[in-house]
Amino acid sequence: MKASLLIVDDDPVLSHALADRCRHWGHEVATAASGEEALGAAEKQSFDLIVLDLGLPGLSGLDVLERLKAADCTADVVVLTAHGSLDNAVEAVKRGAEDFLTKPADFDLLERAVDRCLERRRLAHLSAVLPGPEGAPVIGP
Amino acid sequence: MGLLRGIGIVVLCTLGLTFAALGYRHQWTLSELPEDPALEELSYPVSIGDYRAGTSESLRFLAESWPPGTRLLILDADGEAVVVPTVRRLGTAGLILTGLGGTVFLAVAVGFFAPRLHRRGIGRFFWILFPYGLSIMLGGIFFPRDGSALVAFLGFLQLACLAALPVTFLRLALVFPQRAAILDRARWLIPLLGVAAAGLVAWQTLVFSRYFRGPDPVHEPALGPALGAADLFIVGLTTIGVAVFAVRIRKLELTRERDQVRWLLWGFAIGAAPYVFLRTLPDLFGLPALMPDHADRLIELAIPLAFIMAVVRHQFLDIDVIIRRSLLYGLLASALIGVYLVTGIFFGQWFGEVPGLAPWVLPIILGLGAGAGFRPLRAALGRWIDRTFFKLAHDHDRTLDRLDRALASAGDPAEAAAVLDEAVRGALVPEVMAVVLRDADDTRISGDLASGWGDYVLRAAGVGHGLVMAAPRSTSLPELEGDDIPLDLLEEGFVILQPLHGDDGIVGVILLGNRQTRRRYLDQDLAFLAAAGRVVGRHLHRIDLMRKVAAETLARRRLAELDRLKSDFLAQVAHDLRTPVSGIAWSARNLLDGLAGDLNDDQVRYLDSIRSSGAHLNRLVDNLLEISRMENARGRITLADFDAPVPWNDALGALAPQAAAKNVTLELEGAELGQPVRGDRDKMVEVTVNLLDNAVKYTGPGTTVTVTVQPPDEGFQAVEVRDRGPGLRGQDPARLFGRFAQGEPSPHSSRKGFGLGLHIAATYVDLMGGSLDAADHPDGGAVFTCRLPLAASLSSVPDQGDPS
Repeated sequence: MKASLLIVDDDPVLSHALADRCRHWGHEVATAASGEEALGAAEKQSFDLIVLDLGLPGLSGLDVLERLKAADCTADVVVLTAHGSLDNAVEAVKRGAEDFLTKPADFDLLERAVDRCLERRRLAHLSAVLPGPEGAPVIGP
Repeated sequence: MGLLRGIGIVVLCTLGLTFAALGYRHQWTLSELPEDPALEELSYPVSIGDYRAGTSESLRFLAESWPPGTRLLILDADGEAVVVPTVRRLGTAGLILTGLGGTVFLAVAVGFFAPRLHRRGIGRFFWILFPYGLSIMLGGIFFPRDGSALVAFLGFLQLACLAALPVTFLRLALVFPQRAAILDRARWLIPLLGVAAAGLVAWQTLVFSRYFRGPDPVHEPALGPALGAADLFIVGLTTIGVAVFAVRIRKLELTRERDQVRWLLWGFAIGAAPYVFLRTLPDLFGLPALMPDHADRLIELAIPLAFIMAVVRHQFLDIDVIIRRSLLYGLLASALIGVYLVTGIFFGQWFGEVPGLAPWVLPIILGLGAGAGFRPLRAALGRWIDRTFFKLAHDHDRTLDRLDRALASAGDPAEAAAVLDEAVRGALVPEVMAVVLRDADDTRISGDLASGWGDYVLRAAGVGHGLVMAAPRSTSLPELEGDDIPLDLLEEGFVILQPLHGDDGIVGVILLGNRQTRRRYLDQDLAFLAAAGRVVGRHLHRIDLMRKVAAETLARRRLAELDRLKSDFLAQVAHDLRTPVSGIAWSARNLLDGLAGDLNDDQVRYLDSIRSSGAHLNRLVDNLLEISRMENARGRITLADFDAPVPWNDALGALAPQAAAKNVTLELEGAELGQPVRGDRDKMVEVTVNLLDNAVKYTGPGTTVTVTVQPPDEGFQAVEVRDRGPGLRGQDPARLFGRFAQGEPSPHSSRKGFGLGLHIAATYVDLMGGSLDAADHPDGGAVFTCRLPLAASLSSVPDQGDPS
């Protein structure tokens, strides 16, 4: 399934490798090297998924996450960080992150996380579009 | 209740002392017939004026009714007349001894025992000494011929006191120091004796008053039995009391109680027995007294002394306070008696002549006055006694109190030394003085001694075994003096060295000198100095402790801070390393997966190496992070049950690429033996990955690393990891598991780790209640054995097979 992704990471090497990989999976990919840039990009274009680093120069990843949610951004956010502590994970999920992965996450793991998110979005979209008294029976198990 | 009781006792004591003074005054005017041979030749009955006497005894009674010096004309039955002048019954010596004896009894009773009546067991002493003293002061007063109500009352009071004495004495013998069992069996005993005593008093009062109202032979026969019965009562009960004491003393187990009873026994044996057995007993049989007149008054003083000793031996009273207070109340009681005497003797007559003022008004007025003046008088007297008799000790005590308070706020030895210096200078006024204190490794000197003397003085004080050292002729206690003060200190003018004792020996010295005046230090001064030394020693110890605690707290805080910094640093480094590691891993993977076009075999092999090295680098970074988290790992261990082989399977999967890169085969044997074990499932992955990583690292290329699950044994399940490397090479396994230990570099591997993996593995296994061991395998290579406790459901019933 094709989707539009925004990869937010200040390290160009990581950003580049990850973007190539995501394109390889068949997604449209944009990158941002800072929190401000990411917020600007999210404002201009609506993404399905944002892969967000926490340790960003300027605005921190958690701040970006909070602003995105405050601005009613519909994109799901997967946090991908080198600072994988339990505290960070809890804080990220509290602020609305869908998933939390630590670098260097295996690409297979990352792919599963991305697919899971997109699948959930698709189902949610279906349940919103299809008429019916209850969403659940239409979708099935 | 307590207040009422106190008021009652004050009133009782005041009235008692008043009556004693009045009675004593009356004794001055008591008369008797002299020993005159002419009296022996009289034939009875005789008559004096209208009064008649049938026996010589009643004649003597009768004659007492006229003042001393009255010339009595005695007519006998044959009509012969004799003129005999009555004489003063108590001579000067008798008066002095009687006054002294009575005053001591009353002073001890009122001064020593009355203020302590609220204490258990004191009342019994008071109730003997008080009537005893009163009866001495009232001695020989009978019902007067002239019918004076006051004298009649005093006579009655004396009879009552005399009758009460043997009862209270016997009671004391039965209740001191513990209540005798017989008192519980015969509760009526003491009340019965009281009734008997009251009966005796009533009988004597009746007989005497009838006799003296109109002395006549008709009433004479009644006198003898009444007096005899009273004497018999005294002698009998006293004898029984002494016997009871003597019997009970052997049953007392406590030495202190035996001591107390012994004091009482001796007191009575010396003080009262002669009076009872040498005077009263012969009198009972009409025999002459076996002891000189008034000697009993002196001997009796043994009784109050013994009573005081018996109480002091109780050891519940502070001796110094006893002495002060007793002196105080004794003086007070004596002063009151003196006031009453003077008032009574010099103004009594005048008071008596005031129209409309009955004689009994005087004691009441005096009593009220004494009651009102008691407290201020006592306070003034107390101050006077403390200042006069205990001046030095008193002042020194106050100085010590002040010193203690001042030292409590001293924060370091220098301050303490200054406070001590000031206190000692104020109290002892020495010409030269110095305080030397040990402060950490240095010494601190304040006062008239140059710095540099410190160690010398401390060593000198150590010679005296920690006791005060005094130069010859410097104190009032020659036995304390000696030649052990070094000559150079004497030349500086110091004659006294008082060591200060801390927790670990001598912590300082006070030096004193009186070079010019050569005033000697009194024993009170030395006692003060020693006490000041103890006080300072205690406070120095406190200051020392406070400093140590503060230093330790600071050090611990610094250590904790350093530890935190180290952990933070490790965590930061690890996190920072992850970004480049990710770059390596991801880029290699992208290339391998053909994102940048097709690759030839060599390129694929090199990229595999890059990926494998990246994975290894990542594990090292993980270990660094684990180490930084390890500090509070105990709290993070979450125990759960899982099958023993499960984490090993995970690890085998994770290490497979690395093993393949090195051409190492990974095997798992005996997985079917695996039982549920208890541990932290996530941490166990760290353990197994690290152990396998270590094994793959050290085993040779083309060999096999074998993981063997062992059968459960004694509540544990062991899993062995065997490599085919160089083995331990004699290294201590404990060292191997240390934080930065590392085995000898493997000849088959150029890679070097941080040596953290084994440390992390051992630490986690230990936290889970298991153990990790390392040993050489007999066929070469090393064997690491990881034991975990079996799950609770298994280990709770070990070795108990179902018999069916």
